[in-house]
Amino acid sequence: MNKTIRVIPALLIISIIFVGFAFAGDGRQRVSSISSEYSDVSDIEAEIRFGRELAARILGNYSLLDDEKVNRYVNLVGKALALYAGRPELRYHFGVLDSDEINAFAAPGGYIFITRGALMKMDNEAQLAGVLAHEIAHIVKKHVVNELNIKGEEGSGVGGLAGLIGGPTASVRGALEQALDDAVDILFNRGYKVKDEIEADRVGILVASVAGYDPSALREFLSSVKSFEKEDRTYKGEHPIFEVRMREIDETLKAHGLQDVKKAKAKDRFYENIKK
Amino acid sequence: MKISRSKIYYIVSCCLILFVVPGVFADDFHYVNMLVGNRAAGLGGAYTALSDDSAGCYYNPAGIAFSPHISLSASVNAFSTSTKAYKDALRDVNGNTLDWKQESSSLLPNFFGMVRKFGPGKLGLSYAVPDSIRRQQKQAFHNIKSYLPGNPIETYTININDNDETYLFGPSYAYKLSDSFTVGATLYIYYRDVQVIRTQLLQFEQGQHYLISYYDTKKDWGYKPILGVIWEPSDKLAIGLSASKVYITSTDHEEQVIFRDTSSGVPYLMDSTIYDFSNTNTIYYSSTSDTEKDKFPLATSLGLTYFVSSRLLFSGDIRYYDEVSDKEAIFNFSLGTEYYFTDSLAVRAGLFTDKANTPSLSSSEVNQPEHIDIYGASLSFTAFHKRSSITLGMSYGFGEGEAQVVANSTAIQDAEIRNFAAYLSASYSY
Repeated sequence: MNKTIRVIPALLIISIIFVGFAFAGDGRQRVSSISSEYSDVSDIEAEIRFGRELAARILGNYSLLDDEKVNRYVNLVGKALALYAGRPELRYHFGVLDSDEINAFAAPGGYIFITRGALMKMDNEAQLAGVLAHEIAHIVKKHVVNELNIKGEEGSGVGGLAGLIGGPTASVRGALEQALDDAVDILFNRGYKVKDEIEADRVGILVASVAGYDPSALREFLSSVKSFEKEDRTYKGEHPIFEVRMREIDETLKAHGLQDVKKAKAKDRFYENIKK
Repeated sequence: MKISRSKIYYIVSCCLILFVVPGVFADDFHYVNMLVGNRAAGLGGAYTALSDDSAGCYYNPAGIAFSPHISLSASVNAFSTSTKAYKDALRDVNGNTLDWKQESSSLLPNFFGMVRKFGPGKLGLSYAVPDSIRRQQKQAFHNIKSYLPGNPIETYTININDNDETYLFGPSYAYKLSDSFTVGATLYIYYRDVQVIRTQLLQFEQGQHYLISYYDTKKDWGYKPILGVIWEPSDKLAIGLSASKVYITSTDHEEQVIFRDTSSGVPYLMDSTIYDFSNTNTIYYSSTSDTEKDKFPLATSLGLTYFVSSRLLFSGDIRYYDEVSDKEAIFNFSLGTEYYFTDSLAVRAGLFTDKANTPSLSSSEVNQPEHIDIYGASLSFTAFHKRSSITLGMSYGFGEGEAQVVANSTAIQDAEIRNFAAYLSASYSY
C-alpha cells in the first residue's frame, strides 16, 4: 500500500516534466466549441447583436471623440483594411474614443475603437493600419466569440431536445449579461489569450501588407509604446507577452519575406487628418 | 408468536440446509455502482482533473470554474441492468448443481446539473443518483436435496424485490485562485431509500412446507461534502485532486420477518422457549428497528488529464477509499479518452475498475460477504450543435469472484456479475 502511495506522486511528477511544459495554448477548449464550422445566419446575427451591446458598454466607459473628420478618416482606413480581412458578411464600424489612454478595442460583429491617445502616439497611417488590422483580426478569428461561446438560436433536433430538458429561455438573458461582463473583463482587464494576441498580430500584419501598408509598422508602433495598455498582459501569467509578441512578429515578417519590404507609410495623409 | 430475528436464523439454519443470507442491501460491496454525467461516464469516470461541466459538481467541484457561463446537463434516461449468478449454489436429488441468479434493472434520470457564474466564481447545483438497484428474482428450483431423509424439497420458490436508491443533491462553488489553479466545494444532501422484500417457500415432497417472508426498509439522511482542487501546470495538462465522505445524520431502519415451518415435528427449545413447528396454525414473526448509522470511507481521487489537441485528450483517475467498519481499503482506477471525428461528433471510451471492498473469502469461515472485483468499459457518442449536445452512451462491467449464499455453511460458490448501463443525455451551455 505505502509503496503504491509513493509511486503515484512520482509518476505524476515524471508526467509533468515530460509532457506538461512542452506545449502552449488553451488545452481545455474542444473543437466543438470553436464556432467556425457552425456559423450560420443566426450565429452571425448573434455575434453582431453581442458586439453591438459590447460596443455600447465600451461607449459607457468612454465618450466618442467629437471630431467628424478624425472619425471619418479612421473609418476610411479601417474599412479599406476590412476588404482584405475575409469576413464580408460583417459591416465594420470604427470609432475614436476621447481618451488619453493608449488603447484599442474590438467587439465582435465589426465594432472597433481606438483611443485618441493611441492616435497621438502614432507617426503614420501605416501604424494606424497596423493597429486597426490587429483589431480586425480579433474579429475575423472570433477570439471573443469563441472564448465566450457566442452562438445563435438552436434550430436542430439536438438543440430542440436539449432545450426541452434544460428549459433555457429564462436563462438566456442572464447568460448574455454574464457573457458581456466577461467580454468587458477581457477588453479592459485581463486581455486576450497570448495565442490570440499572437494570431491577431500575424493576421493583422498580413492584412495591412496586402492592403499596401508597411508590414513593419505595427512592430514600430509597439516598440514605441512598449506596452499597449491592457494587451500587455498575459492570460496565463506565464510569459512576458510584449517580448513574446515582438519575437512572433519578427517570425511572421521573416516567414513571409516581409522584413525588408518597404510599402506605404502615408505619413503626410496621417498628419493631414489627425491633429497633433 | 413473536421471536427475535437471530433466533429465527438459528432455527432455520438448524432445521434446513437451504437458507440464503438475507438482509444484504443493494451493492454495499462496491463504490462505483453507476457512472454519473454524460462526458464523465463516457470516459469511464476519469474526470477528476477535467470536471469542467456540471458533472464536475460530483467529481471535482474545482473543475466547474472552467465551465461556460451557464452550463446545463441532464440525463434523459439511464437504463441499468445487472445480473449476478452464484454458481452451483444448490444441489438437486440427482447430485446436479444449480445456479442462483439475481437480476436488477432500473430506468431513471441519474443526473441533472447546472453551473453559472455567481460573484467571483461559479455556482453549481446538481442532482445525482450514483446508486440505483431494483433487484428482481423469481426463480423456482425442483427436487432439491434436503436434510430430511427421503423427503426432498419438491419445489423451492424464491421471490426477491429489492429497491435501493441513493440520491445526492446540493450546491457547489468554485473559484479561480489564479488562471491555473482552482478550488471548489460541493455540499450534497444525501438520501438513501431502501426496501427489501424477500419471500422463500420450500415445499417438501411429503407435504410439509417452510415459508419465510422478509421485509426491510431503511431511510438514511446525511450529507456528503466534496472538496477539490485543480492545477494546470501547462495548457496541455491538468491535475485534479478531490476528497469526499458521506456522513449519516439519521437512520430509520425497520425489518419484519414472518416465518412458518411445518417441516419438523419435533419442538425446538431455545432460551427456554419452545418452538413447535408441528403446529401449522402458528406463525412466528419478528419486528425490529434500529438507528445504527452506516459508516463510509474517505474517498480521495487523483486525476490527470492530458489535452493532446482540441480533438484528443486522455484522462486518468486513481481513487482511494480508506478502511471503514468491515470494509477494506481499496484502490479503483479509470482511464478515458475523447476524440472528435468531426467538429460536431465526438467519441469517448473508458476503462474502469470497481473493486470489492470485502476481504477474500476464507474456507473456514461462514456468512462472509461476497468478494467480486469488477472490470468495466464505457463508450459514448456525442453530437454537438451550437450550444447543445446529445450523448448516447453505454457501459459494461464484468466480474468474477466468490460468495457464500448458504447461511452458516463454509461452502463457497463461484460468483459472477455482469452490469450494463445505457443512457441518453443532453447538455446545454450559453
